[in-house]
Amino acid sequence: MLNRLEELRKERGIKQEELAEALQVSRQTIGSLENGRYNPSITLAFKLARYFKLSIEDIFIYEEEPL
Amino acid sequence: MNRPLWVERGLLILGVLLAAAGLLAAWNGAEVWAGLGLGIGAGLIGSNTAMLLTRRYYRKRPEQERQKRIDSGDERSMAIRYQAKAKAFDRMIIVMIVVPFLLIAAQSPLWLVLAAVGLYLLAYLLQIVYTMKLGKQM
Repeated sequence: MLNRLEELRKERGIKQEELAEALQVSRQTIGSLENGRYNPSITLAFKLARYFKLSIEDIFIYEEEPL
Repeated sequence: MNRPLWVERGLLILGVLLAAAGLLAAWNGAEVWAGLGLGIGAGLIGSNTAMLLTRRYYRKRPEQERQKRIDSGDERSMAIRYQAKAKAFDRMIIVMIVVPFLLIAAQSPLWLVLAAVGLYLLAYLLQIVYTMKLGKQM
């Protein structure tokens, strides 16, 4: 799933380690989220939204696959 | 390191006792009991010594312990672990099909061949049981 995580993080001058620490996840999880290799659970998605003070839809871009 | 300290110490002591009993059995020519005692004893000694040393290491490094706890409980790490276990099970099931044939080729006793088949069936039965259980929970 596409997301703006890296963009938002860099805008605020936050390192991956700092974001991981704040969300109580590993730095590797943040890295995998940013490059789209891993999709977060709904709980983690909410935590990210709350951290950045945005909605989930502002961070994650859901694109329906063509039928 | 979820087990209480006394459990690890107790298992280490048990391992030492079993290994000693195994050595005694070997001295007296009881090969089966020697193998069991030494094997289980060595396993308990090794694993619990490692746990105790790890516990001591992290007691001096609380920040590393905290990070380790975060990393092991991290949802991506857990997802990777569960997928790895599932894939390993799928591969092992194939191996377990081969084992009875190897036992037959080695002219093993029938009970041993049937036990191997039984273990193979047990693995599938456990998968069905957990599928049903998790289906009700989730």
